[in-house]
Amino acid sequence: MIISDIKELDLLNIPIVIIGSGPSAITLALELEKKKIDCLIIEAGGEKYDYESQQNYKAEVVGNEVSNLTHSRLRQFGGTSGHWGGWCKPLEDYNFSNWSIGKKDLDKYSNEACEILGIKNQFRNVKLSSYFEQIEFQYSKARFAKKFRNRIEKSNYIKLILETQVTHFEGDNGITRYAICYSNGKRQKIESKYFILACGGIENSRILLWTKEKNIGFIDTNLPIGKYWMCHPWMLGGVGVIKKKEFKKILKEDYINYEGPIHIATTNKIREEQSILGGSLYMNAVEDTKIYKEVIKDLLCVAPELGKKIARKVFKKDLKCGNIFLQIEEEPKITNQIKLHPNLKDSLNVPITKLFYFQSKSSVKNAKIILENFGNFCRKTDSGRIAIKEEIDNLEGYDSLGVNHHIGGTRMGDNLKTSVVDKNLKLHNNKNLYVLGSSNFVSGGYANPTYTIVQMSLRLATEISNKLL
Amino acid sequence: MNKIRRSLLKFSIINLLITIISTKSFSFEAKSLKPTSYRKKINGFVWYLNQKD
Repeated sequence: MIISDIKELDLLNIPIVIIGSGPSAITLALELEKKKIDCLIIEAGGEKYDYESQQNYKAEVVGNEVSNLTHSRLRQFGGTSGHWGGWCKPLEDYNFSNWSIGKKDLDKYSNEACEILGIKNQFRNVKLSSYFEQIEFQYSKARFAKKFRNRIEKSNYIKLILETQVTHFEGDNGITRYAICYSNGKRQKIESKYFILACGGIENSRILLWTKEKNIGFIDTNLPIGKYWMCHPWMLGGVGVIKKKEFKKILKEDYINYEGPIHIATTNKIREEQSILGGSLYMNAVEDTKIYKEVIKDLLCVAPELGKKIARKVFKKDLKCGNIFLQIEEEPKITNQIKLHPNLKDSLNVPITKLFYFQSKSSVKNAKIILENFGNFCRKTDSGRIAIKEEIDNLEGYDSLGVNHHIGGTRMGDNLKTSVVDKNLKLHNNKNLYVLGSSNFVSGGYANPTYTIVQMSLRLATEISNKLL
Repeated sequence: MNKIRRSLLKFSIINLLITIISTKSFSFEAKSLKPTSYRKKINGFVWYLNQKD
């Protein structure tokens, strides 16, 4: 049911209020609906993109460039799934080494997560060498607003209100009593048994930080809210030629043959032996012929004999030639953090985000080690040749292609000094306020976060429904 | 006299062995040190290539 005024609702009969309407919020609401539990979704934006509304996402960034925060996130029904790329992959087992839960705790929800995202539950990892494996992504076309709008509108259990912004929470004695919001130009108090904050990797921290300022003593002041913020360093690592035939020879029947980019990821062995964080590299399915020509021209100059052989094969289906992109894991650093801006405020008088983000020197070192080892693998097995971008080879730095995955800020854990929520995503020292999204991640892995977010939402639905039923 | 001859012979055999072993190991080392790969820079990229390329 879509409502236009909160007063239409009998809030006493709605035990769960979800703030935000992106993939995490909608997944949670749909799962609660299956269990016949009522919930209210509160979305700050409207049904469609609105320039004015997006201005509330303005932020100041200190340090390295981050993709425009006013427009890269969507303040509208369906959240950022309105323009996401749809790349889905679970995190690797070793990514959970510092989490309070393991991969198996989330893998229980794989079937439902794939159903929601409309993808095949198949994420193969096949070993190319002790250091590298070919990996498989699934590509979701789900735009959550479009896919689930009708179902939510007809639902007897899900209520949705748009253009209503929650600014903070009020409560006492570790109990969250109200979500304070502005709806139809008026300040309103929404009461409920459980509150789920699911507003994305930046807003989750901002709303908690503002709650801390408005209600001194309500939230534990020692919790590292906004800290350990991360992204996935994404860069052009180099160029190269890959002979798919040779890959097929190495992998035999295990070769992952599908339309889409070729994805290669690091194994845990290289992470441990070379003391690096993981990463994945990929070559696009289709490249511009201009890039083909440039790469072959360079190869003919540096290795004429090989260049001639490759040039003869260039338009054969077995040869991939072009850019090599890299998406790697970033180390969580306490200094990369979200703070409230001391001077600038949004239209509702809430301080805007001031994000401190500095690229880690170890990211470029990790990128070089990954590319160097992959280059040597291609050379030794004669499965291709690659060239590393000179800046990365010289460890000077890298140009970011975009910072679109916002991770950390309300990380999960048992230690109150290094985490904000417990393993069930409940805010520490609070009885009924939960935080949901990539802000809970302890480590980012190399895989895009949405699939894991959906798994976490399904897990939270089980946790909450067990409390209610 | 015989003792001197014998010790001289022993000394020359040991000497010969040392020379052979060191030469052999040197050649072995030299072979393993022979580069099979090289790196070459062009247009802002560093190629990782085989010697035979």
